[in-house]
Amino acid sequence: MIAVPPTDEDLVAALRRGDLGAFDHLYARYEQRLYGYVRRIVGDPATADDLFQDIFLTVLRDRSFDPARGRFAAWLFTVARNRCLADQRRDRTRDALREQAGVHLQPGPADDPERRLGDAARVHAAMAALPEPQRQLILLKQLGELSYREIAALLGVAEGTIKSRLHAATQAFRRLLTAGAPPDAL
Amino acid sequence: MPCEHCESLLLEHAHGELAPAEHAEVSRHLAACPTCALASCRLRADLEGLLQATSEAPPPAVRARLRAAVERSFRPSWTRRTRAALARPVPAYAALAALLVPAALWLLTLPRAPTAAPIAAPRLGGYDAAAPLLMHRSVF
Repeated sequence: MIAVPPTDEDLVAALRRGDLGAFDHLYARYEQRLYGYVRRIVGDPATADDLFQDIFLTVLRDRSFDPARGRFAAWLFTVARNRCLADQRRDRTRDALREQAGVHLQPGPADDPERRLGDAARVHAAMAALPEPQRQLILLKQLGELSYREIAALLGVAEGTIKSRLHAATQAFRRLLTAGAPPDAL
Repeated sequence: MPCEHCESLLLEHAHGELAPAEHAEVSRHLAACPTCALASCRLRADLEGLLQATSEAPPPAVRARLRAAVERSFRPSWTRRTRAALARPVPAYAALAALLVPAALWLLTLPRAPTAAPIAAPRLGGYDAAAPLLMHRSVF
């Protein structure tokens, strides 16, 4: 018989009962996605470190999360988005990101030996060049793995609106990705 | 399904957001139409590349700090830990029984020391419970 892995909600309940192993499971599931999300939003690594820790701890300590009313992932990324936005309000880094994007969007050499690294840089540059709401939307979908319904609830708009906005955001991202690609990739 | 309609649904198809019937219809179209299949593959590759490039592990020190903070917040009190240990039945109690039962049997088989003769209680000579108290006896 194949053992079914515990759900996030089971792990949160176990952690609240004092099972610290549940934290390790949750951390392994979300560390890369959550940290990647925070990093793409705030940019600065030191700020991202502090925010990541703060978000995780806040979500775990918050007893108002009710597994019966929604998924843990949606709750986690809702808190993450709010924290990142609050941080951005304090310290606007958008101009710095745009400057950085301008540098990265220069076409690279065709025979780049570190093609994979180059691809990642192009993705980062394209993401940084996107308008903030589109970047948020794509990250919530790709890294947060939230459903359209969950994103709609988070942003307070209709599900159909999310659908059309995600279409527009994905198209814009792909255009920017192509614009930054080496000539042979076009 | 016309290609234009299929193309408009590719993103939802990749995200798994279509209703089952519509999802199946798009999948059937992709299986039959190389142009749309190629467009679908490119879209999925871009989305996968996005996920790969944006996922990032935090530094180990962050994990260590977070783990310590979680431990401080969620480590149960000693009473709860004791109760939990007692509530963990099978292995702990089996091990305890495996130790205690032979020890008890060994104690029962030990030769007993000879018991000493009972010590006689001191007798109270001349005591008469029915006799009046001294204070009530006539002196003369």
